[in-house]
Amino acid sequence: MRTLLVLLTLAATGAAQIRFEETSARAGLKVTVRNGATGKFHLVELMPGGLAVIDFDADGCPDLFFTSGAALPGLEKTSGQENRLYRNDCRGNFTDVTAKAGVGGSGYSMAPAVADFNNDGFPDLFVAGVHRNLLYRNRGDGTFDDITAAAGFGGSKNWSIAAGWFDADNDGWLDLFVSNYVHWDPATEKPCGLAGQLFYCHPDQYAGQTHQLFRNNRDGTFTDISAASGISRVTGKGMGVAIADYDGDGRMDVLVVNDSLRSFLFRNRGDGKFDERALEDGIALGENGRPIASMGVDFRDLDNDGRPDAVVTGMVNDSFQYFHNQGAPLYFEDASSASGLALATRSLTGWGAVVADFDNDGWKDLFFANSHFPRLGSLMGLKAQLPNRVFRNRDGGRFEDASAASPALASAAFYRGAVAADFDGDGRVDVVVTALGSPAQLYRNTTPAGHWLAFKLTGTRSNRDGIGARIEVELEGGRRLYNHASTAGGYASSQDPLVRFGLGLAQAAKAIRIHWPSGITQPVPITGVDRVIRVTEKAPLP
Amino acid sequence: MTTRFVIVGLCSAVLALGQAAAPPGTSASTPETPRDQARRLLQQGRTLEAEQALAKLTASNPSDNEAWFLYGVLKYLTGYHDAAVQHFETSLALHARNYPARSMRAICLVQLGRLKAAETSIKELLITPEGAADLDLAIAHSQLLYENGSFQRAYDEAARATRLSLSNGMAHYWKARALWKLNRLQDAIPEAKAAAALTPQHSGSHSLLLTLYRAAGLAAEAQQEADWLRSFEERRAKGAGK
Repeated sequence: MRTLLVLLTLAATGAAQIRFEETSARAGLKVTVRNGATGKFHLVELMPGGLAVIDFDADGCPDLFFTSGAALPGLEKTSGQENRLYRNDCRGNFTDVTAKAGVGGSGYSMAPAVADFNNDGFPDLFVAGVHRNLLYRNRGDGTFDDITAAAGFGGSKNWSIAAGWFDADNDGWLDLFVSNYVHWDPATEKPCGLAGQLFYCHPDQYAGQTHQLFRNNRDGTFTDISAASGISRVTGKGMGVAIADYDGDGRMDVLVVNDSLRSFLFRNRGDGKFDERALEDGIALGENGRPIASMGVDFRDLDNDGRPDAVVTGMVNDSFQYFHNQGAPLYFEDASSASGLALATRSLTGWGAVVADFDNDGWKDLFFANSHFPRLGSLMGLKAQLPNRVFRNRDGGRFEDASAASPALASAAFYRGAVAADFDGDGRVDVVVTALGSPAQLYRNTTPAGHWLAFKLTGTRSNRDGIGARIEVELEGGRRLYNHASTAGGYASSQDPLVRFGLGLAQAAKAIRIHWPSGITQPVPITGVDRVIRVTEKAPLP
Repeated sequence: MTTRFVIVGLCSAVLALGQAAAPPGTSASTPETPRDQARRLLQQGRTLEAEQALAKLTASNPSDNEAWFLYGVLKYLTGYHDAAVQHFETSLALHARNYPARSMRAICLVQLGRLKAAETSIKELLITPEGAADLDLAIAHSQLLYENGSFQRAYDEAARATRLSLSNGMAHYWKARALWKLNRLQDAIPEAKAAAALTPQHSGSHSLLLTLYRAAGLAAEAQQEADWLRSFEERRAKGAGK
């Protein structure tokens, strides 16, 4: 019946309206990010709210992990500030399993990063935070071991705000990139504003930090190779991280957006070193040459030309950015204005950014979690809490605000992280968004959407999650769709490792090819649509 | 999170205009009034103190159109264009013919991307003698036309701005951007070079030059601009406070 409705809608309009309804309470999600604010305007209060899609029990259904802050200025969690793990019953109903799993955590947590770093088939969990990072090894029985110190992540002095897993050297083991923000110490933080009118200090008041790359030693430990790899050659004020192979050389590159500074693009040379090429390759700054207060970023192919593009959220008057990847030699051009995104987002302050095909029409759409800063309303003449927004990708180059069709999106709050996955198994991508001081939202996708395919990858020569694998789906008529496996993206968040494709009206794919990080290209047998296809990496027969 | 000065060099011009629009009875020889103090704080870039002074001033005398104008300027300079528009409109409700407030309102509307409202306002202003000679308005108009995708008209207006003041870097900057969109790469480069020379700390001009050099295949020149921007940003990243 739904298929018929979809076909009728698509045939009549050429496109379906993207629709979400808010179902968090019904689904059992009761999560509020606590930032420990005490009225003293500590900068960290603004930043928490990262979350992750994690299928921790490997049952094929996406579960959720939420970070939370801690008391200030002590940076220790008190009751109600624990990180939370919720198990999905595969129908989109969630149960809090934090205590059993042992992942309530400690310290002021910011951002999870999920991947199977030890290739045992169960996703592990890194949690970036303020002066304390955590690494949990998934034991495969619903519980986790805290291996932070043993793995080499103890004693952090950084304010880590996001992280992403990728195989930097394509050796089949996932390495970890950590985005660090500024040098900040609650004991020495100076007040900003005027007496009686305190406010958060501008990031210009703090010295930035360098980012970090940790090599996986294949034995449960990691080595900091930030200096040797060239990652620490530049100082930033890191926020979101997204990872993709932008130059098509088979190696994943790292895009980091910075707060009120230009972005960094670390090009993977393949010899253990990275060149920072954001300026040379056109993605450091927007068209007006001014750095924006970037928060979130996603890095996926939005126009189906086989090259990953980038979307970046920023602060009010910045406009969110869309960088179109033209390929060599120029690579990125700022297409924010031409795409319609610049004007449509100029009045927004955005945090979470997610690229996903919400109407399954073959064009990936955009979701943004928004809010200005608390108390900024009096300075700006605006309300500080904002609604979230979804933008429909019309044809790979133009985005239109499609939020009006979803009254649920109009509810304003201090939104932060956002992740997308099909939580209820109906083939449509849902969204979960955190908020400071108010409940997380679960936006169930009710769009009369098109057909779809998703790929659950198992690497053998490549890393087990297949992170970095690029998938090409060819439809009848020659239309080609592209996506890649990555969990790094958004604001302080970790995305679904499943690689999804909306197919529109197509009832079958004509050809499917997977380009694994190992270098293997593997054709996939055609088996119909509207299903998750499990693919294990196989070398071609000699 | 950022506050910023959007158009280099505008502050002093705006404040001077604001002063010119002040009601009779105010002169340089009189003791510093609260309004003068607020203006001085603005000119000195002491925006938080200016905010406090202007909030107090407008609360104590809501019919002080000059104070509302200065408050709008403060909001404009700190990047809060919505609030700026509100304050300019309050000023205009009290003194409808206050040209600086009308001009600044229009400029803020451009920055906010409220292009239709901005276009209406700018058209009304351009037919006045003050508007025809207003450099900042010409630059904002060029930006408006650019954002509307009218690149030839954006170029024409930026060219008019350079005729109003050959030494204004922003006029050359918008001229260069329009030329680039008009596929006149070789003409755009000297304009962008002029912008960078006239406003050397305006990273936008260097970024534009980098884009143009990359497009022209001038690798060495592009690298020079990339290095300038890299160094500029690295200093900002490491600096712990202004």
